[in-house]
Amino acid sequence: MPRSKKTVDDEQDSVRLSAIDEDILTVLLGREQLYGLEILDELNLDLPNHPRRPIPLRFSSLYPALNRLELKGLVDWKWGDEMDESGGARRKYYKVTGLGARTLLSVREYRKALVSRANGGGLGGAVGA
Amino acid sequence: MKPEDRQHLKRFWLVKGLRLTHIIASLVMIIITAPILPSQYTIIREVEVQEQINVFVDSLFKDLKSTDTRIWIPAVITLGRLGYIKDFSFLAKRLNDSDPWVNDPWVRANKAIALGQSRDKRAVLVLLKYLNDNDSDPWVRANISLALGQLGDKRAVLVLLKYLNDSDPWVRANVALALGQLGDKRAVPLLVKALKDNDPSLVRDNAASVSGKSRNKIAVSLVRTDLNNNDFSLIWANVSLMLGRLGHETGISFLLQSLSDSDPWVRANAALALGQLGDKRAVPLLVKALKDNDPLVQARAALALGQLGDKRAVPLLLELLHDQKLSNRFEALRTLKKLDESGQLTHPSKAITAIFFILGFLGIIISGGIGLIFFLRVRSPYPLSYSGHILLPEETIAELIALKRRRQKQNIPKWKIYCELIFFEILPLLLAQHIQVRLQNLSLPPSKKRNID
Repeated sequence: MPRSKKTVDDEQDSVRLSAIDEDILTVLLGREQLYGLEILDELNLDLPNHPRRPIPLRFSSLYPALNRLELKGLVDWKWGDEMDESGGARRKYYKVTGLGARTLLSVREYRKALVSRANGGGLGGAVGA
Repeated sequence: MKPEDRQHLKRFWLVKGLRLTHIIASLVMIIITAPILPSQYTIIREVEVQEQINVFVDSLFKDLKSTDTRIWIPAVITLGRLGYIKDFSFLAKRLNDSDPWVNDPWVRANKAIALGQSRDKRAVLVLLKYLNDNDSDPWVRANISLALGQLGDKRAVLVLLKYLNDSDPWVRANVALALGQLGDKRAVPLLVKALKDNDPSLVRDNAASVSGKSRNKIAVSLVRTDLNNNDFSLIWANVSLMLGRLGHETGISFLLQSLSDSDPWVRANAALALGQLGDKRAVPLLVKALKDNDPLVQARAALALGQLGDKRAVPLLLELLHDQKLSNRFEALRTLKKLDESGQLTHPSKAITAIFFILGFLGIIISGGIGLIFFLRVRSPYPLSYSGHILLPEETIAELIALKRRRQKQNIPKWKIYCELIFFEILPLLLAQHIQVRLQNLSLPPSKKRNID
């Protein structure tokens, strides 16, 4: 039996996203590029009247997640030039890839569909809305 | 080359150099900590020997179920010697069963040995009956006498005294030995006489000329009963041991003297007896015997020294754990355990092991954690990032430094910053970087190339 040619959708299906992966991709999506501390700041942002992240993220969770996303091809990075603030060590600037964006959007769409389905079902089915 | 490229190249080689230093330092520490290995090796060997003993003991227990006296009786003796049989109540019943090998002197002698080991007072009557039957074989009579001595029942004294006039010198010597074991003071002069009668050199000389018309009864007995030098020197050593136990100086002086005998069997058995006697005066000569030409003498000297609690025997005892003879392996293991229990092995060797272990551990921490120390101490930013690379990737170092500076600007006390960095950032990061469990990625197909934009 010949193997069927994989589509982009198939490729996205095989990429699993954890909650942390999803959060990081969400932060990176639509931004030019961010370094580690900036991503953490965005994730752990504490604003009044804004829901906080239940468990603040730390570097120990962030970097393994970024490495994972990089291996999956969902993020890309490049070395930064600024070294004064970081004590001579170079920073990595991360950005989301096309595959990353597509994967995140498909997850979002699925969630949206899930919510609308759940809302409909929760009201006892179609009631002539 | 651009200045920043040159800087990066320099950084690259510095990081490589530091990593290499770390590897070399770790290797050096492993070599330094090598003295820990022998103790672990010993444990492994002990386990091996114990396993072999278990296999051997299992086979003996199988032999015990045999109906053939020639098989089950030696199994009883060996298991009894090794301490695996404590209750010998089954022995009397089994010995009463009809035995087709009853005419075999070897079987009769072994029955007597087994009964002697049983420590069961009821066996005394059986043995006395055997002795009263006046067995035609001197070897059987000798072993019955010995067994009666082992059982320690004073009722045997009167019967044994009758056998002091036995025609066979081998029997007489064993009777004297049995009387000694029974604590009968009359045994002392008899033992002294037995010792003189059985002097190895005398026996050797006479045994050589026994084909002639020698009238030496010992020599005749030696040939007739097909005894080898081991058997003969063993009884001679036992007689000396008994004399020593009864507080007679002749015993120990004979044993000490015989350590330099020309016959290795005599030297070996004397060493064994000296160990059992427990007289510390034997130590220097036994240490000398550790370098004897004969391996049997060396082995028995090591066992004896171990019995006397002298740790100089340890290297040889460790070698003995690999000896061909299981009895030697067993004895070596037992002696080593005894030395260990008396603190001879544990104290210095464990202390040294602990020191080496701590030194090695510190060495690895220092060499590996040098980056961490720099991270906390060094003001200049460049060495900080170089040294940090040993344990963590550059980008994480950069972010940690940035976080540290941010906290400093927030006027948070230094100790709080360091605590936060070490316990909440660096240690979890180290764990995350070096113990990577990527369960999530297990579902990914292997080596799949993906197009990134």
